[in-house]
Amino acid sequence: MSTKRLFSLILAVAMLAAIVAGCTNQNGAPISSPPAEETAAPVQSEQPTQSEEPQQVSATGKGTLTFARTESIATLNPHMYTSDIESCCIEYTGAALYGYFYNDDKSGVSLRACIADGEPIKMNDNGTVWQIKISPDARWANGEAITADDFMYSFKMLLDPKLVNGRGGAFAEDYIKILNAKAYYTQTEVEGAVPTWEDVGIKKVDDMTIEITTSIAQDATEVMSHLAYAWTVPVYEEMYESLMNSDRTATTYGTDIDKVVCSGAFTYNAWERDAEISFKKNPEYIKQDMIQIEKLVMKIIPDRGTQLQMFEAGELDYVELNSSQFKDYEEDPRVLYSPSIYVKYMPVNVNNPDNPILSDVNFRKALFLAVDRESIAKLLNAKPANYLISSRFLADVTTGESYRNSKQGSAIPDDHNGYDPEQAVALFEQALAAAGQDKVTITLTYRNDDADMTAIAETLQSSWPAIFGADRFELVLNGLPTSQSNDQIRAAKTDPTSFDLGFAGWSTNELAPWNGLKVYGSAWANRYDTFTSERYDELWTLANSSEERFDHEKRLGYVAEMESIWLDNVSGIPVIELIDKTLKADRVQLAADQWVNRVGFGWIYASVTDAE
Amino acid sequence: MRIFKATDPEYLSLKREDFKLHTREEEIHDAKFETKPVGFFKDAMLRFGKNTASIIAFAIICIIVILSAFGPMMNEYGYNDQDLDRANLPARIKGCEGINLLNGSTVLKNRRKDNLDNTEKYPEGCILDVFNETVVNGVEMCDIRIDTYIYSGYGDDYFWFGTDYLGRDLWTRVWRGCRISLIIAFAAVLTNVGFGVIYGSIAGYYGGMTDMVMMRFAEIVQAFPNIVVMTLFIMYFGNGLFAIIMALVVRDWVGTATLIRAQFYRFKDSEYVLAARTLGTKDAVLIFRHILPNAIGPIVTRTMIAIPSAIFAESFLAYIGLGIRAPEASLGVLLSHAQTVLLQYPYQTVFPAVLISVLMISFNLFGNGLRDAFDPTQRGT
Amino acid sequence: MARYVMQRLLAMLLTLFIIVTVAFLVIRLMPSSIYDDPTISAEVLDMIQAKYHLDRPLIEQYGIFMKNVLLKGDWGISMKIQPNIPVFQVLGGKVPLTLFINLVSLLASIPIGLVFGAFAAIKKNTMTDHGISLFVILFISIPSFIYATLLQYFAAYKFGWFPITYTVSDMASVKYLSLFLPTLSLALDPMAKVARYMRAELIESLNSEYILLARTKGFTRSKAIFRHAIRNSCIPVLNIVVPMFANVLGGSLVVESIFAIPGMGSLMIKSINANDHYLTIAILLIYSLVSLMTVLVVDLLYAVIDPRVRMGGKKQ
Repeated sequence: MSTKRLFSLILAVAMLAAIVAGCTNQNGAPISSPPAEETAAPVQSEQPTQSEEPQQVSATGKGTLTFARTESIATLNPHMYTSDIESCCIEYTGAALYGYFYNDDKSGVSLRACIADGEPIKMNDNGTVWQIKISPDARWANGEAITADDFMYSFKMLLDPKLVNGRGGAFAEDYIKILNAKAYYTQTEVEGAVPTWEDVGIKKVDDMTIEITTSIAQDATEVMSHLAYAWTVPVYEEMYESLMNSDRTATTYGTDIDKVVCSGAFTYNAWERDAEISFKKNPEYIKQDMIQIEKLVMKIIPDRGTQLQMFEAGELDYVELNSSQFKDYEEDPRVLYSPSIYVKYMPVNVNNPDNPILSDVNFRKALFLAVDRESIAKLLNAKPANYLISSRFLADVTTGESYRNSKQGSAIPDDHNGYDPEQAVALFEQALAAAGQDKVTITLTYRNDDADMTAIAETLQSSWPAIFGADRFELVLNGLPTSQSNDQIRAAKTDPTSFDLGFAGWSTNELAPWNGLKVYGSAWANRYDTFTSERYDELWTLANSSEERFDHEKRLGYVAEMESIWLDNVSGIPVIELIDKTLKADRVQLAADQWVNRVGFGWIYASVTDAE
Repeated sequence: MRIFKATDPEYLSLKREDFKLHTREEEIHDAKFETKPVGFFKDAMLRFGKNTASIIAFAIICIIVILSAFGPMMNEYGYNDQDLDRANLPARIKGCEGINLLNGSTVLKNRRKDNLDNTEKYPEGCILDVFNETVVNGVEMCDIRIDTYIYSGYGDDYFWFGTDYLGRDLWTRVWRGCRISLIIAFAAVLTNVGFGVIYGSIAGYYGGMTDMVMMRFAEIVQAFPNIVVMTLFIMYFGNGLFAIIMALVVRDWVGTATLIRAQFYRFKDSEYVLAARTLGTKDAVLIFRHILPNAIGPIVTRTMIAIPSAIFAESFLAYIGLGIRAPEASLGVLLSHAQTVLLQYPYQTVFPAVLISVLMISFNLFGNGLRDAFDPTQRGT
Repeated sequence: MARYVMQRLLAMLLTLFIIVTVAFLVIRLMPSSIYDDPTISAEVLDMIQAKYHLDRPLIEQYGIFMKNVLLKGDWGISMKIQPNIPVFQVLGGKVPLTLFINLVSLLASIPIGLVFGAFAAIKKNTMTDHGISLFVILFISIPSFIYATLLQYFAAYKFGWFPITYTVSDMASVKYLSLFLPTLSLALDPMAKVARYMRAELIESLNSEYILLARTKGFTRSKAIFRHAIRNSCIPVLNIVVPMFANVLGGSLVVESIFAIPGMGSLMIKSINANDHYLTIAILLIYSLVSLMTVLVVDLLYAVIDPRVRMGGKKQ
């Protein structure tokens, strides 16, 4: 590691510290950008309030924000939750040690203490022991103080080998590797003995301090990122215990709103499963002065068309638009744009014995080159993507630089977004000749409850034979409901014939692409990809746990190499990156004039004037 | 006259010549039939002919069947001819310029007023009307009615039912979809009636233990909710045409079987069956020749009523995402997609919805007519 | 009769047992993993599988399941839809709403259907009759999701008379108002069916000898109709009404999804799709029970209404 790079790293850490201390030095966080030039600057023109003085915040807040989601909530237990909507509820109502908030001029995101008292303190030189102080102002919603004991109990339960909480594995090892945590969780032997809880690297120092020991060197950002995950939100010991079953294998904590104790910005107000959940401002929340509204109402409306009707009828304060609904609002100044985290790609099953031509990289490449991404993007009001890491990923949180704009990320050639039918045909012929086949038939498994994917699938079904020759190529479409389609693709692990081509998209750590790329690696449990590369896995380890990772440029280099291994081998065929469109009612004033990573539009910090 | 006992020796020794016909010289007083005898089917057809509503329904079914067969050939567009530039064009028919649903115009909502003069975005002559002017966040907005065909650069084309999200001609797709729906419905219903009749006949005729076991089996099949059975079936066997047909049959035959069984219970103890059995008629003949024809009315009726239900069931499958494999489409698949864009492109819902409704009404009316014809005692039910 | 009913009830238990067994095997053989959370690693996945005994052979899993059911009455817990909650408690939260809209729509539609049917029969071949018959055929023929969508679009969205979807509220009036449109959408079809059947039965009764006799004995027409004809026609109508109750838990899936009602309809589909096995089995059990009960009641009614039918009689 060169001294210059080391210096830049130290500088980065110092800048981060500066943010936490309350200084501001950001600019250029990805702002919302409309897809076409004729709808210029819609966001800036419509924020009359953000320049005003911040309003006096009352402890109970004012106004109700009503919005809709399509999925249902299964559990509110932070140790077990699985879906996006559940993490949303847990983030509303639970306070982790650290969290993602607006930076001071609200132009970007910053990772800072939530109920922790300042940054983690490095206790030894190689960075394997960290102490975290808990703020004396941290309170449960019932008014009791949150102490080190609460976190010790929460973390112990999260890793409990009998409860086998789904999130335990990610807590044991992700950004940081907690000493013996994984071995304790999975009850595997380390040096001849299965570790007990006492051997795990989480210790109470005093009532307001815990100490975490890791097995590899970490930096403060990693520790903070790790302790900002929603599953590290503390659980309330007394209730968790009282809801535990007799053999301590399951608890009903979080199965209802009276079976959970809140610590975050809101408390649960009422919940009718699969219909509506509402939240009330929590006056005990450590940052309660950031919250203006009194009540949040989240309705579960599975149909997007119905949601839009409700918005038009004034029953919702904001609504997400899908690509066909966008037609009526493409010039509407109320529409807010934000980059989507998903790159929609088609994983290729390279191991399918029924269709051995899929293992030929030339054939896969031919498919890649035959996707007219620009037309598809135009049809869906999206962005063509011939890359894997979406433009929402940041190369550097402190500067807010997008990975795609970074030196490493922008190296991917964008000539016609990877559309080259001539070369595609050449490669296709080559692959067919090599396989000794006259004709190829492949099946595309996709989710037919997703209108965008259906459109892409049907477009390809007619455009690919047109490029390769209808007598040479056939695409069979296999549209299924979401979970069945996903199951069929994932079944490839046990049944290699389960699919040829699928559809996928990952929502993963947008602030750390090097971490997020784990979902394409061979160790990932529920991966859609079937292609494996030792080099890729090695690079991932290098980028996440080697000493080299502290060199920012080098780490981005690893990221770029991982992405290019994935692309060169066509593990999957990227198609588009969506642009999320949100329609907002005028009565809602957002706290910031732009979309920000992790915080999004900051709906919970908004204020509502025209409340019922 | 004498009465003999069978054991009498005299009885055994009687000769043929000892008998004589009793009424040889007397006239038979019954009047001869002047009219020709009318068979069961002819009778039924005569009655059916008097039912105007059913005749009209039958005619409509015929028209729909013909259009399903030939409709897709009536213009130059194929059912999977995509052109993303002409996606979502509304219906446009020559001579219907005055009717908003059919003249190729749409309302574009929430347009910026200052953009309207931009001929790059709005080609000349495409804006027909400007209304509903409002100010949103300080921007002057309005709704406009445009000629979508000029707007998209397809001024000379006529898509009678418009186009879908990939620019495919909906006229072609609707009729082709109708064809698929009809094929699925007919195949499913015929299979289910055929199987149900045989199953129900055997159970009803033999009764006792056979009936008990067969009907318990039927009950088990029927006790599984239809949706679950269809979902599991399609998950196992995929969403090809055959799998969908079978998914509709796998449980529905039970209804037919129950109906037929009930008919057997009603008739199997009647005197004529007893008489036939006394004469040594075989079981198979009794079942199919003597008892089953009683059920012909209910069977025909059930078949006709089952067809619209099968069309409905198929569209329901499409609704929960288990419709037929793309690019093929059934009415259900078209409808379930159209419903998601109802607010944006209402015409995409209107045509298949009207067609499926007309189809169902016609089949119901036709079924009623047939039932009245075959079984006059049930008239009107 | 009592013996026959006992026989049937015993057979029903056996049937239910077979259903549960078949359901268990069929569902567990589905080609999919029970846990598909993307953020957990392979080892954790294996551990979770082990926790729920999913790593054992199928027969052993079945044995464990049946043992719990028979000895402890424990049908298992939901694993995905509402983790760690006993399956029947999950159902308990869903059944009331579905039962409510289905029962209300059914109970409201029967008398209305009877009245319209009777009206049409009495005024046979007049404009009234034709009008009613037209609506009957419309409501029977048009798929419920079409008029549910239309009702939602016009009555709720365009004119704002009702909430667009099911509304959670402390005020009962708001909640029930939001259930009006779905209930109405569900009521139209049974209403039309009852009306159609009633009309036919009543017309038949009106033409029968006993009405002629009643009239010759000096009854007025209305008296004859009300005292004799309608009473006699109502009984056969039961034949089609009772099977309608078999659908009280499953008939409203589409309407529920249009009006975003958190009922049984979506639960079943979700549970299958999510591989929430024990929940799926419990749902199947409930549906099967309702369906079997309905079949039994219909059979018994058949015997009551028409004594000539000897249920379960052997071939003679």
